[in-house]
Amino acid sequence: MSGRRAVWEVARREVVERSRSRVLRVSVALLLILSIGGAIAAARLTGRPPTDDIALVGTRSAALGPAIQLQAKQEGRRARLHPMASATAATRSLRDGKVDVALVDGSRILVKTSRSQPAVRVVQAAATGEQALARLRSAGLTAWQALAVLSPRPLSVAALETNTRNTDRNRGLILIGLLGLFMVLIFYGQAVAQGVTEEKSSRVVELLLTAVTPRRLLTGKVLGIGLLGLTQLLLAGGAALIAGRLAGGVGLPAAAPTTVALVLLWFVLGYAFYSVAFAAVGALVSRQEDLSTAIVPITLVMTGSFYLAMIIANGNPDGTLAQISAFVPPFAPMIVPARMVLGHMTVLELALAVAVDLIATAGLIVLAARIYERAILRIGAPVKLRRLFGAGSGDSRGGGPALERYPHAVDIAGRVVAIACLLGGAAIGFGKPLSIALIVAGLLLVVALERRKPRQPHPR
Amino acid sequence: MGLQVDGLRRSFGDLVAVDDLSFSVAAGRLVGFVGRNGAGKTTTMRIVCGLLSADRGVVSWQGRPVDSRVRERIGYMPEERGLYPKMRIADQLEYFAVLHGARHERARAVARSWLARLGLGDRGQARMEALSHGNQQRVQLAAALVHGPDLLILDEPFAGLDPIATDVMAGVLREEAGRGVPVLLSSHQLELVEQLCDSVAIIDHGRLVAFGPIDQLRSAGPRQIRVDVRGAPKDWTDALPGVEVVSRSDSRTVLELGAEADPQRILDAARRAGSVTHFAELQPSLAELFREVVSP
Repeated sequence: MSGRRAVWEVARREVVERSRSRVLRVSVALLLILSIGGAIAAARLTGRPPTDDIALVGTRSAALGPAIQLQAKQEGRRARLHPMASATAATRSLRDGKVDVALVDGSRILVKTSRSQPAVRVVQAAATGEQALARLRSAGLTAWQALAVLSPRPLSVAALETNTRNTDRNRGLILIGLLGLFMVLIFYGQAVAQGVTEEKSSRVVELLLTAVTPRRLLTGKVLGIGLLGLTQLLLAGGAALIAGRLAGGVGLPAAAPTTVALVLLWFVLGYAFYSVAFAAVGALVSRQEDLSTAIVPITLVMTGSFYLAMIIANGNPDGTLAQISAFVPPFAPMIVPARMVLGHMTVLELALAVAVDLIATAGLIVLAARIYERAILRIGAPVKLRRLFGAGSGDSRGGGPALERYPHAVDIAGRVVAIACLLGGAAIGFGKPLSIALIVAGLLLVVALERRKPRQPHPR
Repeated sequence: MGLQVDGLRRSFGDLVAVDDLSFSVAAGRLVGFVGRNGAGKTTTMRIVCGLLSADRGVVSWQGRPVDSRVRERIGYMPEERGLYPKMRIADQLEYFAVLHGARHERARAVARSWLARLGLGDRGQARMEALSHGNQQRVQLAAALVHGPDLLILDEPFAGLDPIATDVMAGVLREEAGRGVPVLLSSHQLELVEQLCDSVAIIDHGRLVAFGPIDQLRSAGPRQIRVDVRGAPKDWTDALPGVEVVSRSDSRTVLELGAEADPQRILDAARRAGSVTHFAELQPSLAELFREVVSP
């Protein structure tokens, strides 16, 4: 059979068999619901100015109504006025949460708890403005003169470049896009590793390799699973764009189509990079139980690059860190979309980043394929990379490492510290350097503990 | 021509698993591949199937070195059984046939006919993990045969089979040999090998210690004859030239025949001595032969 047909048949099996799996169907449905819901929310919720409900008690308060409306508008808010007969009624409404603030007799402001909320600011400014106006008039100024004093013309601000990029809405958009990209990359990357280990642990690989070369088997598997991932992202991205358009409101940010396109492009590139690494690691272990620890280094790098992208998106998307990491292949899939949408990365830089990533991916594929070829038939204890490229390569007799004495207390203490690090990092708040340091330290500790653990002899 | 293995050598680190191994399997012949655990059988079979590379030596098919196109025509049953646990068995068989070059429709039809043949006609939609051990073995055999291979390499095909399944397996293998397919099978069940196979290759510590048609190997040793004579004197064999008594009990005598010995003259002498109830050439069983050539 031709190589291309073999690859295609392997890929086809992955697509057909996996699309039957309930886990995949649920994950597709979840991502669809999330993206459609997110798009509708983004289009409708952010489109409306925030509204304050203000109770007005007494005629002097009612007289301030127009001034309050005007003040709210200036601040980009909306005021809904509720004239009320008595302070008791206003208090009740406040307690019930029907109004945010009550103005009593034009002289007292009542709130339920927060004394500094925006509604208070609006009423306060409107009332003091009216007082100042009255005093100026009593000092002999005409109404126009008084108004002129109260509304000095602000200085004009000229921006050299209009900032249509680094806006809150665009940031929200790219964060959601990156989260989707990260989830799909890690989900399908792990699927590759699990698929490889499944073939090895079930021994079916020995039968497969009489018909297909290891490289074609690897290529077909990576392609088939990748096609599923790409389809899932296409569905989610397309559904989000369509839902955002149909939802009305202010619609999605203008950068939405670019973001979807970038996420798709970097899924393909990132998946090509990470999936072969996952496949190589999957080939090193013989049992699914060994896989979860074996893939930790890869998922750690992926999580790290996701955090880095978060920092860059929330900080300076054109800073030195952002500029450098866009050209570091493991980080590029997350960083480049963030920089393209929020920062000022040019198309030329994008092309350069893609080129660097492609070269690194090609190198990684060669290395990963070699590891895969040499490790896939070795059944037994996880294969050590050092042995794989040393003497006697192709050895199919795996030898288990000697059991070592393992003090239980160290294990428990280590775990407590690791959990404390992780919880501490989460409590400080994601995105801060200290929290990242703590989380990374916690994860590293977990890995170290797992590696120290003695392995049980493998049941044959 | 068939399959030819020539001067094969393969080591893993310091361990020489296969050492200067040569044998052949002709078209339509069933060759038993026997040896103790760790003798190098699986390594040899993996090399033939292209799963391992040889340090030295050549595996050839019809006179030409085995390449990937030939390997595609091999039906292989690995020692470590295994198919996809969660995949439906009809789909698995179709997949393996397709990987060996068949078109999908044809592969589906052949898979169905093999399942019917092996008594699994109504289980095509079952997942592998849902089948009993014996049925899984049948599917494994079908997976080796589903692409209509030109050569069969079966590593312990009878391991773990019940007597009925053993008969089915043996019948299928005879049939495949009958259509001209060379079959190489390893087994520890020497009686079965003796019944089923034409030839045997005995391997010990990676080296071939005996190879040839089973009958020839059995008769290659010193000729022995067992004679049962009732009422004969103890010394009835003394006058016979070139004859040595191996054992004697009551009426039964086992004789080893030298070059100048003549079985007809022995029979005549026996009849003169008493009444003969048994007279036959005594050949060692494959198991006896095996114990003789393989180091303990």
